[in-house]
Amino acid sequence: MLDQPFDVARSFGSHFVITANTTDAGVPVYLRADTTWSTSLHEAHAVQSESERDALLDAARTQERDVCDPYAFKVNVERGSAVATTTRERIRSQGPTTPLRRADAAHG
Amino acid sequence: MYQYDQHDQRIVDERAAQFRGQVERRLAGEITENEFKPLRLQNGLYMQLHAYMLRVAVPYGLLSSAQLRALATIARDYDKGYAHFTTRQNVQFNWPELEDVPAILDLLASVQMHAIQTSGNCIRNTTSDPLAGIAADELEDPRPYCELIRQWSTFHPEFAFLPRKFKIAITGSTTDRAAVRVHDIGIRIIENDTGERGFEILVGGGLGRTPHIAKVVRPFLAYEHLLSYLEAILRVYNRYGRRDNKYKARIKIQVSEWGVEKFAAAVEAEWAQIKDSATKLTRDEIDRIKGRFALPTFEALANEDLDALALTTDREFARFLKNNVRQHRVPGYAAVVVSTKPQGRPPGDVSDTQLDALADLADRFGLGHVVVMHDQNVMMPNVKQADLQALYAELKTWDLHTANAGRVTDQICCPGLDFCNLANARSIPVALRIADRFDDLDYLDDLGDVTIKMSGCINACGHHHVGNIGILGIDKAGVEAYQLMIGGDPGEQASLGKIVGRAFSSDEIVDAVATVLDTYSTLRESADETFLDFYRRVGLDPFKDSLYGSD
Amino acid sequence: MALIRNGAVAPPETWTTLGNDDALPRSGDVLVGIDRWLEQRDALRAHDGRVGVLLQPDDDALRLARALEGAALVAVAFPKFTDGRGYSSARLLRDRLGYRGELRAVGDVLPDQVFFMQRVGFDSLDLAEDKSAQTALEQLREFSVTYQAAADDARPLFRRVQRPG
Repeated sequence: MLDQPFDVARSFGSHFVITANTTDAGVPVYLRADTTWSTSLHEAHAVQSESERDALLDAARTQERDVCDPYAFKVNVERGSAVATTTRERIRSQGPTTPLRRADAAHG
Repeated sequence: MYQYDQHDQRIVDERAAQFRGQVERRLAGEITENEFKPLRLQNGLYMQLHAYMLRVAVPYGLLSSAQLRALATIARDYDKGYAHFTTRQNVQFNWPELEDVPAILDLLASVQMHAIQTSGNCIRNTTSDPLAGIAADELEDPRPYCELIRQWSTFHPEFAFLPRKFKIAITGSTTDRAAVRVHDIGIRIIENDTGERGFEILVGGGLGRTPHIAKVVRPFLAYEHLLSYLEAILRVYNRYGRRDNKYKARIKIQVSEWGVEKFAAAVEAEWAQIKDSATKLTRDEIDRIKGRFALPTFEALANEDLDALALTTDREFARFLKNNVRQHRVPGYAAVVVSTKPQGRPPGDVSDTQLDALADLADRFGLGHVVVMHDQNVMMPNVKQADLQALYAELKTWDLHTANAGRVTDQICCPGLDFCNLANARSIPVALRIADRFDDLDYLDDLGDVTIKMSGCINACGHHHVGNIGILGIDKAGVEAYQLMIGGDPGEQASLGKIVGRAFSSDEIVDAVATVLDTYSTLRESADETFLDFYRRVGLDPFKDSLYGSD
Repeated sequence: MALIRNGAVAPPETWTTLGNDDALPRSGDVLVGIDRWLEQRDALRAHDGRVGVLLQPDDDALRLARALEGAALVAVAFPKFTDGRGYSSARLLRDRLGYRGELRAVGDVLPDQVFFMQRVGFDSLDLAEDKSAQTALEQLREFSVTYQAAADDARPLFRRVQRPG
């Protein structure tokens, strides 16, 4: 169990976004400019300054009922959308790269 | 199977009810995530990359057919149709929703299962030997003692907030298939010089960031003192284990920093105060627990000539007989390794339909139960030799028949960065590519016993330190890379793998594994010299040369 | 904030925690650390108010052997609820030192820990700020069966009841 993640330290890029996991299902979500949450990294509100980042984090932390453990990580911005720069955040935003339930040989 | 009495049942029922209340409070916003987190962890509910993950306890790996069916139902109704067997004989679900977890716990409680203490800084599942009860080299069945430890440790009020997690393993055989030497407490059932039965207690083993082999703290402990002695160890750990640094908080660090003499002296001093308390076991209580185990009744059969059978039958079944069938102490019976490692499937994953099938097959051929193995396979421990062929045919229809037990593609693999919050690199895709690369079963048989164990991070859930070939996924400047090590083994002559050289990229690692295996098959003295023996004879240099050349 | 004693909400109390060098107030209930208690125990008897001992997680509770008389309260601090050393301190105070006076958990005391706290011998709980006394009281009664011995019962389950064979 991590104390405080990840990833302002380990991620890199020009902007920050805020992410969390939903309390209901643990789904990765990203904070929009209006402080609602999206499941799509492309809709994340990307900011450049640490003070903006911290303000967004504060806003995220008031939403305890809906999300768990918000944190910030760095992204690049391409054509107006946040793009993950680490494998971890790429996988979080796109899902596992492995097959889930494989059909059984004879029985599907 | 240990049969719950009304007290055992009430405990899991009340726990499920308690957690239902805690979930409701979390969902109502009455408690924060920080407050909820240790509560959900003590019920085995993690937050992972994409979803919650629920780790269900399978005490000493034993699962009845009813329990298998319950796991199938959970996989089907509350998850994405599959479950994952872990390296500590537990089972995990990767996609439960929080509001469903109380219902899952209720369902588990109805089949005498729970998720208690499968996470958090508390005493975890006590694991043992999958051949417990049936191994020919067994001195005594360790499972009743596992059950005694399970009960003593469940909701132990003093040890719910230890410096770190705590893992206990126990073996009753001279061949240690429970890896006791790499556990926080390892227990071996032994006989002393006067023929008295008791325990050897080892403390301070563990893998992870700083692997350690456990040290003997008490060479002989009479059976009745088992629980009070464990209590003394835990108290010394709880009081004095390091809490300043999460990576130095396991008991292995305390034993290492104090030295085993000072540590043992502290334990003995504490134990002297409590050894005659009511926690002392009685022969009656141990016999009572043994009596609750409802051991199977075996028919009086003769051993079949399995070698002859192998010669007369189809090649694939013959291979299955040779690789996946283990000796049983009762004539006419055998233990069967059901592989969860066919090509294309993440190691340890089984679908809901496979779980149901295993339940049916356990009822038909296996006296009603299976055992989860540390290598993530499933053992059917009580199969009549006369039924092996019929069982194999059934397993084949469910893709559970892969005859690679102990072979290169029988990999241990953690979930890795595809799933796990702690990971630095993905592990499952590498395992799948290794399985694709080494799909020639004849070649695998020629290589013989080779264990590949892979972890996606230093926490070593894939036990990479004790793989003949160990692979550790790392993060190298934001890119996944893989450290390769050779020569690990968890048994009596436990050894930790040694890193060969610089890490390999994702593109290079499978070739590197192939090179290692080539080096072995080219330079070994004979096909009888196992990979591990070869390494112990020649060391790392031949591997370094073939992997890195004149680097 | 809310104080629970012997399974019921108790009126709030005010105890002043004194550092080793802090002057004693003229009156009122005070808590002192273990070093000060052991050095000044006799002198503290004269204080106009109750005097209790406050144990930190890294204090050795066994140092209070034969030195508990006169303590109106022994409090055990939980600066973070994840630091479980206080549970062993409580157990040792009850079982090893035979302490029978009031034993209070203070600090980051959350309702979901009170069942275990009660079992290791705490009979009063000073809940953390804003934590629900109601939830704590419910949690005290959450489990009707326990397996192992603790300060509340020195007998493991098999010695308390006849379990089926």
